[in-house]
Amino acid sequence: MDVSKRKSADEQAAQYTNTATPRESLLIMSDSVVAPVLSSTQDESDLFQKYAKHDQDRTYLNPHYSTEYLTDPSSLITDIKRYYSLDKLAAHLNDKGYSRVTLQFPDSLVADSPIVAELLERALTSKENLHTSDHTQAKNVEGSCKKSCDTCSCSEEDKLEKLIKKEAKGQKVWILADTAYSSCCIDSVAAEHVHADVVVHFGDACINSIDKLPAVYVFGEPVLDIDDVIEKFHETYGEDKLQSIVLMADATHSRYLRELWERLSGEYENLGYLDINIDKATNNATIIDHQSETNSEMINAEVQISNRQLVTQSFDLKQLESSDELQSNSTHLFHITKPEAPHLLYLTAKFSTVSLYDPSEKSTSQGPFPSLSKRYRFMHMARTVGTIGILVNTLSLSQTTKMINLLSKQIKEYGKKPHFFVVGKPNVAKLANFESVECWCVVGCAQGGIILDETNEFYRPIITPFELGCALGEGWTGGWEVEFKKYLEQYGDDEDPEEVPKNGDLKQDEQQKEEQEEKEEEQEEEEYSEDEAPEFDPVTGKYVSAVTSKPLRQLHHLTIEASPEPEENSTQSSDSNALVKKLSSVVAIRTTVSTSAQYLQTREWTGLGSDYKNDESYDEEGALVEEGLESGVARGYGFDVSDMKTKN
Amino acid sequence: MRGLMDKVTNVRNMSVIAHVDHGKSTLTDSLVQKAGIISAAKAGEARFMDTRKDEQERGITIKSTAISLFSECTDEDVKDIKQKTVGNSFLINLIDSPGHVDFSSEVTAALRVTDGALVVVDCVEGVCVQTETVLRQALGERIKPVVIINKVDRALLELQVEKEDLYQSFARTVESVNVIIATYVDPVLGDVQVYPERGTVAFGSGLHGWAFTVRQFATRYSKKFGVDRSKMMERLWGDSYFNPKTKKWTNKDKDADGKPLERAFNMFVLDPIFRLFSAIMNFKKEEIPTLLEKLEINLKNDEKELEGKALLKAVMKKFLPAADALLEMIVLHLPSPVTAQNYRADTLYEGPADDEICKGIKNCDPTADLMLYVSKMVPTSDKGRFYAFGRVFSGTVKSGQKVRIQGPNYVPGSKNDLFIKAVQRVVLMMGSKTEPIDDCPAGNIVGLVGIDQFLLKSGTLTTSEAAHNLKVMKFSVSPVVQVAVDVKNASDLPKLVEGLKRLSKSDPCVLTHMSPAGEHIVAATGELHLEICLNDLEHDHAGIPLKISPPVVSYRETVDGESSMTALSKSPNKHNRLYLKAEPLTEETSLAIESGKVSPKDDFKARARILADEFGWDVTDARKIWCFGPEGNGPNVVVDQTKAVQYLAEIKDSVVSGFAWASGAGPILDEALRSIRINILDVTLHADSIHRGAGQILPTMRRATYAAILLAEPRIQEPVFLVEIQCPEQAVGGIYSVLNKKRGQVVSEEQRPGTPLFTVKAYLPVNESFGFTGELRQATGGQAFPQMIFDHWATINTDPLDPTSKAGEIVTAARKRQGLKEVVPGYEEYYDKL
Repeated sequence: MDVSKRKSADEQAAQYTNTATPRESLLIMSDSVVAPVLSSTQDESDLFQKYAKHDQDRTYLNPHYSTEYLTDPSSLITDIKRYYSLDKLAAHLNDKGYSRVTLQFPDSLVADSPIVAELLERALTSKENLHTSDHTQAKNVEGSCKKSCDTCSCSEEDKLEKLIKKEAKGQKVWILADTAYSSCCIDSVAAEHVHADVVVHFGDACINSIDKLPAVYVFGEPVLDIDDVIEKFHETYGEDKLQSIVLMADATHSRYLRELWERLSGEYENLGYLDINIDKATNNATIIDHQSETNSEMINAEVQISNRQLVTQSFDLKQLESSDELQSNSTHLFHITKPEAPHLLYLTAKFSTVSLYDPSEKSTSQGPFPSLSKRYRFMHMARTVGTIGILVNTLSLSQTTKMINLLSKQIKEYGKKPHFFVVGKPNVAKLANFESVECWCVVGCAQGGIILDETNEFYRPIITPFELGCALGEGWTGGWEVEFKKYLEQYGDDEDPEEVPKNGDLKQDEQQKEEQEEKEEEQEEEEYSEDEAPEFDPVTGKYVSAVTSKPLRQLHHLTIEASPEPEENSTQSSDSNALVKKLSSVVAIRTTVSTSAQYLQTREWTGLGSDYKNDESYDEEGALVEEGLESGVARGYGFDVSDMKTKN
Repeated sequence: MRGLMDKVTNVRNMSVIAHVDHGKSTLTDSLVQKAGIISAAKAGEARFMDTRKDEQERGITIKSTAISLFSECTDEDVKDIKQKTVGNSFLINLIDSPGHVDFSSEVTAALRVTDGALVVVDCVEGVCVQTETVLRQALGERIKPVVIINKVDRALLELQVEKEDLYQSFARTVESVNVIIATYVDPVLGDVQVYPERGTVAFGSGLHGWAFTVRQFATRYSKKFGVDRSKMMERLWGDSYFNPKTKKWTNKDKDADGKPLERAFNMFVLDPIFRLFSAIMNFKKEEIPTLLEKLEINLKNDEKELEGKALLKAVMKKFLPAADALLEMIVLHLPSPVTAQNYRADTLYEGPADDEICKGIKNCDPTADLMLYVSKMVPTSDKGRFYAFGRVFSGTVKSGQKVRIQGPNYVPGSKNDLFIKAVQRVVLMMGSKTEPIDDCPAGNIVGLVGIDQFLLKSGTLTTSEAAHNLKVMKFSVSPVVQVAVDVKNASDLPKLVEGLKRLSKSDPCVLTHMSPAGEHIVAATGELHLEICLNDLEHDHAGIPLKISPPVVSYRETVDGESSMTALSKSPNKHNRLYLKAEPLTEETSLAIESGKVSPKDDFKARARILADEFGWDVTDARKIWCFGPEGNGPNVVVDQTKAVQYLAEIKDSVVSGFAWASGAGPILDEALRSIRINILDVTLHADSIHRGAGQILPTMRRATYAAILLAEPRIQEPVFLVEIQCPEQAVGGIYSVLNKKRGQVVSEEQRPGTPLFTVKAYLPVNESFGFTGELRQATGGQAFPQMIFDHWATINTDPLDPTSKAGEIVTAARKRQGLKEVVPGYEEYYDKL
């Protein structure tokens, strides 16, 4: 997964251009590799899922010439160079003098990665070697590779040479394959595997700040038919020229926003656009080939939507004091490209209407959008569950640790049981493995790291930290936030003061503590003598007892119950082959309530042999153990081999 | 009054039940007036028991209301009581219940805490659908009925019937009541049919405040004829005639000369009433005083000035006061708690019949452990708080007493649905008012303060740790009419949730839940019920403006045939396979599961026996039912038909969870499944347990179930109402045309003998019932008023996957509303090729 690969760029470029290439050095992946046999019967269809052959569509580079790439790879290279502003990028990298460069591509652009890598390598080298004679040689190589040649074995050698030279200088380029969490975020973990100095991120990005590495963003320069956008804009908003409208686009298309705004703002008075705000990222992030608005008079920095800030000349829009006022001010959003579901939901919650423009189809749409009321339902479901799994779906975002610690603290305070999970890319099966977790809270990048589960695929509801905050706190407000920062601002304030009193007056602290403890004890006693009132669950319309919704609250009950006869439990060992033993009505491991153990108790299957207990013909003696398997390694099991033979 | 509560033998707990508009609340007024709570002048109009504003405005009862009345009997009457009694003071705890079908659940809640029922029947309309429903429920709860035939004044004034016709009409009504009783009677209860000659039937007019029993007249005449009263009673009903010439009683309707004789009932009972009526209504001023004198009626001076109906009312009230007749019936013929609990204990208590608790209930023992059933919540003046209204079945409940509150899901020994809490106060319910008391012994009906937060609708209170629950009430109505409610301002949502909670509490039957799309749904039994609930929610419980969607119906997903091929699904890692087939369960089986006759709690062998004997199951299959669903007890089952599959027991839990998930939301419109049997034909599992964990099996079971359903002629089921409409003949045509338009199916059409009224019964899909009442009124000139009650689920016999069919239209609309893709995914979505 987080393996970094360095590939021979020429070969790969050829392969990824798909089908006929002028290269002879094309290396075809062999299909004859057989994976190790697993212990149950399986055929090839099990091992290799068949995917339809994917024709690489590179319309984003140049919508008119996509088929031409097959016959004319040089135009492809020119287009790629232009699209990714590779010259500027190389200049930047050289300026900073990074020696270990990692390149990160989203899945949709990964086809370009070998070419980019190679071009970059060359560019870096050529600059590096400007002062050496290598320059000409490199040029020669380039020329020969590009224009000639059916018998280009020399290029292989040349390249090898080149690589060796670069390595000697410590200049390395890596492609990060298969992003672990969300493709819009910097995969710092993968980059650290090769001790990279910098990550170059291509394509749409969330520009969330990451903790450690310097990042360079290359959004790409897609083609956009601005005249068509303006026409569609007119179609959408019609004659009412006074309505407040905000333009927005994904990171790649953001470069056109200023032009669009300039052309439209004459007509529509209250028009603004959301410009990428590089300050949101940490200081060591750079965006290649992108000019942000610098005229501070035009910027309304109070209105921030994820990593964007509002640029406008409209008086109305300038007056807004926060992004929450967009909705109440009935501001409309015109968004170029369709964002990921979580981001889209976030936008629909912020603006009164949202229109999406699809550049490839050249069409607009006003829905359907992800449903906010579904989130509302999940929020309510989270309120009455006992066990919450905190699913960590990012490792690189800054403040992740702070965030999950805060969440876990909040969950515990509320009397629920938190568990942490890191499962790589989450899917249905992985999450369903943890049956005792009744609700998931996913901590991840707002743009692509959150799971909305619109088709009810997942077994248990998955919520965001914001929703969890609603569930544990004051309830639903009608808004929808996704960012860590807001959450930490809202709930995390009380955390700092707790760490401060270390140097403070200890005695006072102790006194306070004692008082607190006393109070708590009193409360506990009261609570024990009279149970806590159950909660009404509007999802089912029933009452949920605090025993299930707040399992940790039973802890003190437990100590009171258990203390008089602590030995009783240990003497119960009548059923020694049961996997789960019923210790008391509540399961405690050391000093904490274990909801998972409680769950295990409800299972019918309690271990080997338990399924025969109800069988009348159950024979205590059992059968003789026979040696039937040749070896202890699963793949060597005999029956599989024979099975496969009979099948074939 | 508190003193009387200790003499349990002199307590009568009774509810007044009837069809809508047959005059329950009006009759109850007579009793309340007798107790001096309202003035005599107002009785019959005040409807004291209708405590809510909307009840008064609409003129219908919505909530059942309780009141405790004090009554005294003559020593002579006390002698006739066939159960143990002390003294001649009696405490009557009376609950007036609503008659509209939509509020049947209120009746159920009232019946649970009472031992006897006063069944009111309109003498013109006769026994109607709701009369039957409530009577059936009463008998199911082992509650003894007595009957009053009401609105006799209508028969006399409006229909101008003859004496013999009136007798025939009475006799027919009594007969039809007895037919129902005979159908549902429980042998433990003994003979509970009603007989006018035994005094268990009264006749009267609630509006005019008069009523009589044959026994009362027998008392009058027994002195005159010098005959024993009980003999007289028998002579005054049925085929018994008096020959005035020979002064002899006979059972032939002709004398020796062949001349017709007058029936004794007509001659002795009806004649004076008829004479009074004709004299007063025809303004024969001179006759009136003599008649009054003869009947020993003394009018006050101002009453003598009255004329016509007003005079009639005053005279009849004096002549035959309704309260006397009713109290006599109640005290004499309804059982005391001691008598009733003796035979009711078995049906009330979930636990074994021979444990201490059950014995306590049987003996109605005030010193035993407390057993109290809370049947409903009554709102207090303090918003959001409720009195827990219920009946003490054993022990004594005191203020400050710490009790165990056991919700409907409590299982003895567990902590599920169990709370410990002190009762703050004990009160006596008096209509809309309450009176605080210190404690309340077994056999009485009380309200409790301070435990409302722990019970949603109903539950058991006890002081014994070993106590099982008192049985959960079964309602005869289902909440099938739903709307989605939303707030106008998102910040009001918490208020809405709180309002929904209060609404669920305040009504025994209304259900609230959230749809998969995240809308708040309120489900009620009918349009009227829904209207009342929403009104309460908006103005009372939540107190915020609401957006209310048009009514929607909940559907069920089912199958019509067996899966056309084996549905195979592979686990995400492709190493495990499930092979399933779906087939329909018979409607009888589904009903048995829904009614709890076949339940997952049963011992599997006993259950298999029932399934095999009564529902034609294969015994081996019946024993291998893995689970029910949804919610572990729904009318769908998974049957293990595999042979010798290794590790099968290990994945059972995952399969069960997967099926619970799938059966709660089906593949077609995300609704619960119904009447589907899933057979697991074969299973392939990976040899390593880690590769056949829950994560692999659980989603696979869901996929395989969906595939099996989609391969087995999937269908949707819609709820269907039974509609009963009573109307004059000329309106029948209008009814038919409306029914036709609404996909209604007429079941029967009958004329009620002796009246111009027709009764039409029909099945009407709930989906079409919205606005039905209005259209019917329009089509019949306001002469027809339907009563609708949920009857059954009917399969729509068109393919729901075809968007042009009727079922398809419903599916498309429902999916759109829920924000799902409009096209139902095909089985291929869930099916994996081998």
